[in-house]
Amino acid sequence: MIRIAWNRILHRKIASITILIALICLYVFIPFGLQQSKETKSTVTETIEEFGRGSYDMLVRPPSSRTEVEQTLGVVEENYIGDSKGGISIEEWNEIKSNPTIEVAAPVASLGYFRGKQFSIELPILDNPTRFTYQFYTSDGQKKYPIKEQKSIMFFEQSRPGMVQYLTRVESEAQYSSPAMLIIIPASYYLLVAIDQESEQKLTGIDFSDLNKKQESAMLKTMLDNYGDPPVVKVLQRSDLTIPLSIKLRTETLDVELEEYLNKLDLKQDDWIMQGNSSVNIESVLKDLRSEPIVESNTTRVDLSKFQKPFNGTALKLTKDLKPTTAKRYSAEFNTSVYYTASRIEYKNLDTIPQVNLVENGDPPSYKKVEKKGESMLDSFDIPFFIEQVGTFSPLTDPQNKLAGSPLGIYGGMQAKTVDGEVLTPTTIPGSFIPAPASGVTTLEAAELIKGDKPIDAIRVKVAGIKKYDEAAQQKISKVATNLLKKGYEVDVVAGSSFKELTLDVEGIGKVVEPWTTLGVAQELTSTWNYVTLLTTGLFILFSVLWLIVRFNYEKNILHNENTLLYTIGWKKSTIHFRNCVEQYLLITVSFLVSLFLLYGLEATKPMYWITACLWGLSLLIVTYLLTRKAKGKNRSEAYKRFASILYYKRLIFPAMMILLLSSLLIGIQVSTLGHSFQKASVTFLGEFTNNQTLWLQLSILVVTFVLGVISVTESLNALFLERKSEFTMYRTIGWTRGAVIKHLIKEVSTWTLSAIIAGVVLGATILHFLNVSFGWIGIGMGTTFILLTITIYIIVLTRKL
Amino acid sequence: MISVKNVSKSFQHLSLSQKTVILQNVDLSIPKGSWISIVGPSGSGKSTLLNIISGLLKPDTGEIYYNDVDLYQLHNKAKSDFRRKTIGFVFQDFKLLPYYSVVDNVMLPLLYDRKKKELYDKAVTLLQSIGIKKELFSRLPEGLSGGEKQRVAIARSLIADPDVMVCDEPTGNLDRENRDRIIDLLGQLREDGKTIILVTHDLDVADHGDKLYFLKDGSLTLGGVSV
Repeated sequence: MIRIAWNRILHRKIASITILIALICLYVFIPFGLQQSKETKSTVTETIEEFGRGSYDMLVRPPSSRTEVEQTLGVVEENYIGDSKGGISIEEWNEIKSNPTIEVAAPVASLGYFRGKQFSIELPILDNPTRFTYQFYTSDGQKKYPIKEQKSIMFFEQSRPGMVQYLTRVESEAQYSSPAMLIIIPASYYLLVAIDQESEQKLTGIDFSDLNKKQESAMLKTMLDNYGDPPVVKVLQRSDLTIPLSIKLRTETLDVELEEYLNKLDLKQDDWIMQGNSSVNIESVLKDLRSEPIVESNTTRVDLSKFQKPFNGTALKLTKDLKPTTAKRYSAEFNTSVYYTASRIEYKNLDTIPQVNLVENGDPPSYKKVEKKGESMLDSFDIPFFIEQVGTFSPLTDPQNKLAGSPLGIYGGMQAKTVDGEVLTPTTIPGSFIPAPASGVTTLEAAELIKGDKPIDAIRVKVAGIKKYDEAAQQKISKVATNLLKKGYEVDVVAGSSFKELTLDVEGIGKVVEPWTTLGVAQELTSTWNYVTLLTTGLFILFSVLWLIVRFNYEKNILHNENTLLYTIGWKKSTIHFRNCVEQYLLITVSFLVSLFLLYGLEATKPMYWITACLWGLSLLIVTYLLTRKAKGKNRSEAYKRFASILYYKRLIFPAMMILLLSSLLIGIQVSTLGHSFQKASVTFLGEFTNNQTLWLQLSILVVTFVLGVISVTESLNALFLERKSEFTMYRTIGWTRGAVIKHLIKEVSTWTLSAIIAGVVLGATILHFLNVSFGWIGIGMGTTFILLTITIYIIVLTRKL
Repeated sequence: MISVKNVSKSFQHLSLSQKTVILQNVDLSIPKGSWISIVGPSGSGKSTLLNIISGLLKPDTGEIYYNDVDLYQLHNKAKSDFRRKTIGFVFQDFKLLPYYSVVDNVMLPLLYDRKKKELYDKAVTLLQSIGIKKELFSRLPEGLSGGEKQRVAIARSLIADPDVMVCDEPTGNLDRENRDRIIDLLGQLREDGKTIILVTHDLDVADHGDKLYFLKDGSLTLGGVSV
């Protein structure tokens, strides 16, 4: 019997070889694809375990702290730490900190926008009387906004060293004493955050010990003495920040005489012309000066950003050619006890592109409700505190830290950009929509002083005993989170969160791309890849089983005539079945053995051999079942009116159509889901990193899918054409040209192949739609499938030897 | 007039180093409107000779002329056109397409040349002329008797109104009654001016021709006399 079966295999050389190749592909590629899929999942898991945790595990906030945008989109702005309302007391924080399951509990209290002392810029002494007109500007990176009003100083001459004759309108007599043309740089307000230096250092590795320094300058001491020794809020200033500040300066040379204007102000020759500020003629004199003809005019803009820091600046001097340099003599302003708090941004239109509306269209525009607080030392001697910058801190810039986001963190340095790529920065005035990092940190005691007894906005908690971010770690975190939830806090597990870019529609600016933090990205990534792996596995297994059923059913169908003949000449049905099975067993087993060699060559893992062995066993079972099953159906005598050949050969064509449909489903779904998952993951930094780690694995899964799909379609078409070979020969005999035969064949083949592919594509698209895959990826996946399979089919048809 | 001039054909078996000579220097003249029969044992090369005469198999040497046209000097497309329009084929196993109805099978050779309606009418006329009942027109070939199948095959070979009918064992699968009907039909066609080249085992069938040739060991002899 084996010999008979073997002879039939040899007799049908081409058919046998193609089925051998197809089976080998199935036996090698299915385990290979499944293995790649499993490895992709492992790589994702390992990546997340290594990089997904971030610097802390959960964020504990007072009840009802979640914003609408957070609840709706599951994202928070970088550096967003609430609206300075607080809600957790230091005692409550101490209680959380003392929990043994918690390694670190680092509190954050947003205090608002504060300023440091401001220094002056000295204007140059020029050779001729000159009017300096100046205007300070801040910038959001896109536009410049004037700060306060434009002012002028009229320089006449330096009568002698130390005696600079200039005139400007001032309100206070205190200004009279300046021996130089000094203008005070306007105050810049920056976010000040209170931390606990010990837990913050544990969490971030940043050294905050300078906060312990006792550094009271002589100038501060004088101020403290004058103002009744108010408390000093010590601030560490972030070292890598610059202030977007510039000055626009216009110099106009005037043909005027000092003497003439001293006379107009009723001053003597030795008097200082600034004394004229108290003269009754001052306004008319200034008017006269404004109408003086200009001999020469020049406008320049000086960038001051690199000289200024959030809580401490540098006194500057402009050279004669208006270049800034550090100054030895200066004036300073200490009015640091005024500060601002700003409300949360109210994002609108969260369903599509979140919208940020103006609250006040000033210079610069404000997107938050800003409230002035504190007491100005210019108005009162009873001031609440002095701000004193005592040192600096530098955030760590490890690039891997960027993978895992720390929502409501305070050190983020990601940039907000316009869609054209312009970098946007917060201005020096509170109210910007850009979530700026904390520019200075201070102590929790200072927070209590400024905000009262519940100053803490959030506590960042790191759970004890976690080395990598795996499932056990997630359970541990979840347990601690549940305990804190029970105590009434709002708890967000943020381990595994990552950055993503979000496009905002900002009134007055347009589309802005900002880095936001997606909560629970690692979990989502894991579940996405679990789902993709499951889908790939399911599809490959379904494809294998159905392919085997369809293929062996096809074999059964083409054996029909032979079986009838053997039965007619007296063979028993069981003997016929046995003969048919033996032939297929031989083909299956030869394919299996060759596959084992190939798997060995591919350095396959043990599970891959097992999968192949299972497929082999499954093939034997399917063959045994199908080839021993009783045939059904009656012979038809009337011809079909339409699609005659397709319907007549349905026993051969329908299995081939099934294979096409399956291949369309397999390729389409694989391309779409991989692409969709890849794109979905890539919106976050962690996801993008994971994608890079798994790119080749994913590509190899796609290649395996394509090869399986194309091989199976090629094999089934070849088998079909071989079966109908005599028909095509007959066409040539009766005088059809090769072109006519091809045309006829294409017409027929196109009808059923395209129907099968379209059915597969539509079915695939429907499944993908229910799996929430984006329309774009459904289109790409299904389009690729359609093109690939159609090209394959036409190549097979057009290259046939007819 | 069909002229077969000095035609030889041999086949090389893959497993054997030697060539098997099938036809050797065969010459044959077939006048227009005549019926020639070729008989010979199995494997003598009868079908090979028919294939060569029909333009399906190029001889190793020699030429085939249809009047003045050297068949193997035509390029492939012209040869296909020539075959379709000039030669009608009748086979022992009928070679009807199993999925087409009787009438569609008859229309098949000219399916891409003529308007379908015109072709259909002609096929119906042909089928009626050779005695196929109307109710069988829409049947699949499977539902016909052997004689009916062969008559349908003859109708198909006549659809292009060819000058020459090439018949390869046309009665080989038929009973006596049907065999006689086919012979009558072929006789009728000869009377209509068609040239008939018939290959058969059956001397009774062969006897109906104008000339009887024997093919043995690659050589053709007329009524036992070498031609």
